[in-house]
Amino acid sequence: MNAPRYRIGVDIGGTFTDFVLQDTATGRLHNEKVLTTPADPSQAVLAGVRLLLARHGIAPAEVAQVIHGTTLVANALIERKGVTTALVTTRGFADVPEIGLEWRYDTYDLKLELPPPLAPRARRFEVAERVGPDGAVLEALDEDSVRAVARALAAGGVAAAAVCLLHAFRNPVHEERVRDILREAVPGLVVCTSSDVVPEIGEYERMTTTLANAYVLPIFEKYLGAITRELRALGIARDLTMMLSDGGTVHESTAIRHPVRLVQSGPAGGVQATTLIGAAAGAADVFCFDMGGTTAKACLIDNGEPLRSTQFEVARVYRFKRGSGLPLRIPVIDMIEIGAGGGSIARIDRLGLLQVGPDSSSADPGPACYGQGGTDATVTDADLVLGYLGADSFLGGDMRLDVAAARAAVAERIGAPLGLAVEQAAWGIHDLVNENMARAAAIHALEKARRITDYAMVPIGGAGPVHAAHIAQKLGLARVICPLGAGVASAFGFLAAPTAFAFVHGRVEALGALDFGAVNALLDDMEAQGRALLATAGTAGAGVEVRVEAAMRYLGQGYEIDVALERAAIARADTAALGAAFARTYERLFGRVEDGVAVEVVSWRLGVHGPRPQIALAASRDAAPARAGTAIKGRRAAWFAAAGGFVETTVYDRYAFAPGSTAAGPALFEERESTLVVPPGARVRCDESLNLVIDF
Amino acid sequence: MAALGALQVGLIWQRLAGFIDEAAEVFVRTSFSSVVRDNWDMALGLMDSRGRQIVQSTKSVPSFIGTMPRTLAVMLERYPRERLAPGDVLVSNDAYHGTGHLNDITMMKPVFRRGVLLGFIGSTFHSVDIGGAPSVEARDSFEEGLTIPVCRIVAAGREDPVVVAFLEENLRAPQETLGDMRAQFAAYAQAEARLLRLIDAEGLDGLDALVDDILARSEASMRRAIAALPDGTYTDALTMDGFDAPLTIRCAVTVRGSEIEVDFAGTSAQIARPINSVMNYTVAYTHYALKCLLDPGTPNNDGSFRPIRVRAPEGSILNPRRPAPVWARHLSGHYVPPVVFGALAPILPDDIVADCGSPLWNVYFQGTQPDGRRFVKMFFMNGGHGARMGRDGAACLSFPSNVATVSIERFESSVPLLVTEKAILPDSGGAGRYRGGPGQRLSFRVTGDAPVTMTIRHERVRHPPRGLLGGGPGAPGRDLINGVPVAAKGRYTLGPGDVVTFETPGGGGIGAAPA
Repeated sequence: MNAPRYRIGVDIGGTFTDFVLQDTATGRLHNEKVLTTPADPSQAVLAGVRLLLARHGIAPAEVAQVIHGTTLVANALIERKGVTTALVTTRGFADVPEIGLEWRYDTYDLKLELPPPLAPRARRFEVAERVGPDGAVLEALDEDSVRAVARALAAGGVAAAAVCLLHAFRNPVHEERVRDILREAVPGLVVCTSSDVVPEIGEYERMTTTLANAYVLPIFEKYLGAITRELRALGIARDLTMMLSDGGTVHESTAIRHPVRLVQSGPAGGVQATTLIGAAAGAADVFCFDMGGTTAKACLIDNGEPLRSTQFEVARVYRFKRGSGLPLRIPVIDMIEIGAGGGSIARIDRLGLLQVGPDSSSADPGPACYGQGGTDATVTDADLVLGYLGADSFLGGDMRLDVAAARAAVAERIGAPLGLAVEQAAWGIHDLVNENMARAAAIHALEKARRITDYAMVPIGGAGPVHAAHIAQKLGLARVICPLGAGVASAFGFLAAPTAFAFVHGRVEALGALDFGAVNALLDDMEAQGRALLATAGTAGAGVEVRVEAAMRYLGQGYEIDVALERAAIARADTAALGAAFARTYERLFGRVEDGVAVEVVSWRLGVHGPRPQIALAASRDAAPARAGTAIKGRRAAWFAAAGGFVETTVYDRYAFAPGSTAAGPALFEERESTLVVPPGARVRCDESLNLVIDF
Repeated sequence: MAALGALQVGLIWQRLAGFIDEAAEVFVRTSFSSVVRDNWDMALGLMDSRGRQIVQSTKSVPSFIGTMPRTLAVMLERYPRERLAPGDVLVSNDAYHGTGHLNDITMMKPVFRRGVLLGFIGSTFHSVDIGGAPSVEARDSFEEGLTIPVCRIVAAGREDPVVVAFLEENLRAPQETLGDMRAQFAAYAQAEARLLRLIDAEGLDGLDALVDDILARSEASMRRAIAALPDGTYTDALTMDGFDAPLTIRCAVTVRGSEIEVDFAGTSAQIARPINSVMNYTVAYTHYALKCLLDPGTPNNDGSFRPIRVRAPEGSILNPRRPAPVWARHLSGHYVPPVVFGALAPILPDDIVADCGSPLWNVYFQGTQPDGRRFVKMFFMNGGHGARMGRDGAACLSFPSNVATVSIERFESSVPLLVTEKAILPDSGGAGRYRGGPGQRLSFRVTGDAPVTMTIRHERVRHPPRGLLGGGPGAPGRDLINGVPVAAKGRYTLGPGDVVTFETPGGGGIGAAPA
C-alpha cells in the first residue's frame, strides 16, 4: 500500500457540499460537488468522499487529512436551532442580554426589530458574588446560590449553560468554581465560561458570545462524532481538521471547545483560496471579492495575510441590517457583506430613482431569464441583456437563459418608468450594483486605514468575474486576477490554510506604566497554550510562527488600532519601540500623529500558526478539460458604456486559453461557473497558474 | 451641461453620501470625546452654493437634522459669500442659531472650484465642556458657557491665533475640543478632494442643478405621503414635570392637501431654568417625528421638509427668547415627537408609537480618583420603548434621541463607582393590547474614600409616559439615595458607601387591553 498522500477539503454549504482532493505527491487537484443533506449533513460528506475515492482509485488509508468547514454553526444561530441554554451571571445583571446596547441601529425606522437573547428571562440565573474591575474579589462566591441554580437547571431541562460573571476576564476564579459545581451537580450539562470563550472587557458581548457557544456546542459535538464515526467506518481513521472563521485550521478537539469560532468557516476558506491565488500571481496585497446569488463579501489581504477582526455579527433579524444581529467577539477574517448579488431585484423607489436589493429573487422562480415564471428584473437579467452572459453557455450550457424574458422584465420594471431603452436600463442596474460594491469596499478600506488602490482584485463566486473589472475601474485598481474554478474556492481554501489559533486578553494599561513582567507572563502563557494546540494538530517546533498585536490608542480616545509588535521588544520592556510602532500605524491610518498625548494598551493578542501548505496551482491544470484548437468560441454583441453601446465582442473558451496567451478587451471568457468580462481598453493574459490577469 | 438623467442623479447622490459618511467615520475614529465616538453626537453635511443641504451623515443624533443650513444662513449674513476664500472655515456655537445649546459647535468650510463657490462642507459636534457653569440652576444662557460668535477660525488654511486663544482661555479641556476640531478639518479636506474629483469626472458645472433635482424628488415623495392622509386638524397635549410647576406642551397638526403645519400654540411660556428648546431644536424634532412616520427611507435633505411648516409661540419653552437658559433643552424638546405622534394617532394608528420612557435619562458624576485626578463622567440610561400596534415595546431603548449605553465593566474601570444592579423593572411597561416596554433599575455605590457629586435632570417622574388609543401609561421614573426618593432635578453629594438608584420610566401601551 502507498503512504497516505491525499488531503481532502470539504465545505458544507446551503445547497452543495464541495470537495477538493489534493494529491500531495503530484500536486494534482480534483473537484467534486454533491447536494447537501440538511437532515444529516454527514451523509453528503460521506457520499462525496466515497465518490472521490472511487473516481480516482484511492484507498481510504491513503487519505492523510480531511479538512472541514461548515455552515452548521451559523445555521443553528440563524434558525435558532441550538439546545435549551441558560445564562448564569452575577447577581443584579441577568437582564443584560435582553437590555442590550439600548440603541436603535436605524434612526428613522420605527418598526425595527431587535434580536431576542438566546436565553429567555426564565433561563437567566444569578449567583451571589462580585469581582471588581481590577480583579479583586469584592464579595466571595455564595456556593449555595450556585447549587440552587443547579437544581433549577436540572428541573428546567437545560442542556447547556453559559457562565458569564462581571470582570471574569480579569479574574476567572468564581466562574471556574461555578462551572465545577454545575458540572458536578448536573451530570451531562455542557458548561462554558466567558473567561475561556472570550476573556475581554464588555459584559454584553461576552454574554452573547458565551451563550452562542453553549447554544451550539452539543449539536456540533454530535455532528462531529457522526462524521468521524462514518469516516472511520469507511476506513479513513483520521481525526478531522476544522476551519475557523479567522482562516486558521485546528484539530477537532480544539474546535469543539469553541464551536462559535466556526461561524464563518466557509467564507474564510474562500479568502484563504484568494490569498493563495494572489500569491501565485505575484500579488501579496489582494482585495478578495466574492459575489454570489444574494450577497457579496469583500475582504482585504495585506502582504499575504487577510485582515482580521474580533467583532462579528450573526443572525441579523431585520433586512440584513448591521446592528440587528447578535454580536460575537471571536477572531474572524474581517469581511464586509453587501446585500446585493446576481439575484438582487432592481426597482424604482418612491423618489423615482433606481434601487437594487437588498431583497433578492429566491432560486425559484429566480430571475426572469431563468424562465420559471419570475418577472422581477434582477442583476442577472441585466447582465444577460448586456450580453455579458451567454444564453446558451450559462452553467456550461446546462441551463438555457431566456433573453426575451430578461429584456421584457428590465424594460417593463426599469426602462419604461425611467424613459430609457432596455440596454440603458440594464446598464443602469449593472452600474448601480457596481457602485454599491465599490462604495462599500472603499469605506471598508478606510475603516481599516488602507488605500484600496494599493490592492489587486481577485473575484470569486458566480457573479464575481462578471462585475469585477467594472468595479475595479470605479475604484481605480490597476489589476484584476481571475482564478480558474472559483466555484469551489472555499473547499480549496481549506487545503491552503495554515494550522493556527489566536488568543486575546483584555488588560487596560498606560504604555508608560506597563507591567512588563505580567504582560510577558501572559504572552508566554498564550504562546505555550498555542504551541500545544498546534502540536495536537500535528504542527510543532520550528515551523510555528508567533504573532503579537496590541490594541492601542491615545489616552482619551475610544477606538483602538491594532498594532503589530515585535515579541523581542516586549521581552526587553522597550516602551519606546512600542510607542514608535503605534505612531507609525496611526499615521498610516489617519495621516497624522498627536504629539505629547499619552498612549495606552487595551488588549493583547497572540496568534500561533504553522506553515502554509504547499499547493501549486499550475499542477491542477490537467484537472481542467484541456481542448485543442483555437480558444475563440465565437462573437456576440456586448454593451459597454465606454464604447457608447453594443460592441461586437470576442468570446473565449477559458479552458482552451493557454498560459502565455493574451487578448485585448472587449472580450468575454466563459467557463462553467462564470464569465469574466474584460472591458474595452483593458489587456488580459493567462499566467502560469491559469489565472486570467487584467491590466488597466 | 446636459440635463441630468435619473441614473446619473441616483449614482452621484449615492457617491456624495458615501464621501460624507466616510468623512464622518474619520472624525469619529480619531475623536477624543466619548459623546462623539460612543454616541455619534455629531453630524457632517454637504450644502450647495445656495446653502441647501443635499446630504447629511447617516449616523447622527436626530436633533441635528436640518439645523446646518439654518446655521449656515446666519453665518453668511455675517460673512457674505464674497468675503470667503478657499481654505476658510467659519465657526459658531450660538445656541439660538445652532442646535439649541452652547455645547454644540458648528463649522462650515466653503468649497471652491476654479475660484467659483461650489458649496459648503460643514459639521456640528458636541463639546463636553464649553466653559461657564451649566447646571439645572442656571437662570440665563450667560451662565451656561462661552458663546463663540460667527468668526473665521481658519483663514486661507491658517488657524486664527486669536480665535484659538479665546477657546483655549475659556474651555476647561481645550486640547480635547480643539483636537476634535482639527480632526474635522482633516475630514473636510478628504471630502473636499473627493467632491472635486467627482465634479470633474462627471462633467458637472457645480452642485446646484443636482441639488434642484434631488430636493424636488424628495419633496415630491414627502408630498405624496402627506396627500395620502385625510385633511383635518389633529391635536394633542401633554403635561411635563417641569421645575416648580408642571408645564404643558400642546400641538395642532393640520393636514391640508400635500402640506402639513404643526403649531405648538398653547405651550407653556419659557421659564428661567435650562429646559427651553430653541426653535431650531423644536423644528428638528418635529421634522424627525414626521419623517419617521411618513418617509423614513429617503436620505436626509432639505427637500423632504419643504411641505412642512412648524410654528411655536415666541417666548414659549419651545421657542424661547434670548437669553433664556437652554443647556438641558432636551427635557422639553424630547416631548415633541410623542405629542406629534399623539395628535396623528387617530389617522396613523398602525404607524405611531406610544410614549417612550424619555426625555433621555442621564447622570453626571464628578469627583476625584484615588490618585487625585479629577473626573467628570456621564452615564446614559434609557427607559422603556412605547408599544406599537402589532408589537410590544422593547425594554430600555433610546428614543427620540439615539444614545447607546456604555458597558458596566468599562464604566467601573474608569471611575470609583460600582454598579450593583442593572435590571429590567418587571411590569413597568403600560398595559394595553400591546404592552409598553419596561424600564430598568440601575444602582451605583461610591467605592472610594472621597465624596462624589451627582447632577441629575429627569422627567416623567410625576407624569409618566402615556399610553395611546386606549393603552395604559408606563410606570413613572424614580431617583433614590440610600433607598430614599429624592427630587429628580438637582445636584447631590454622595458620601463613601452611599448608593444611588435610578428607575427609568416604562413605555406606554397601545390599544385597550383584552378583557
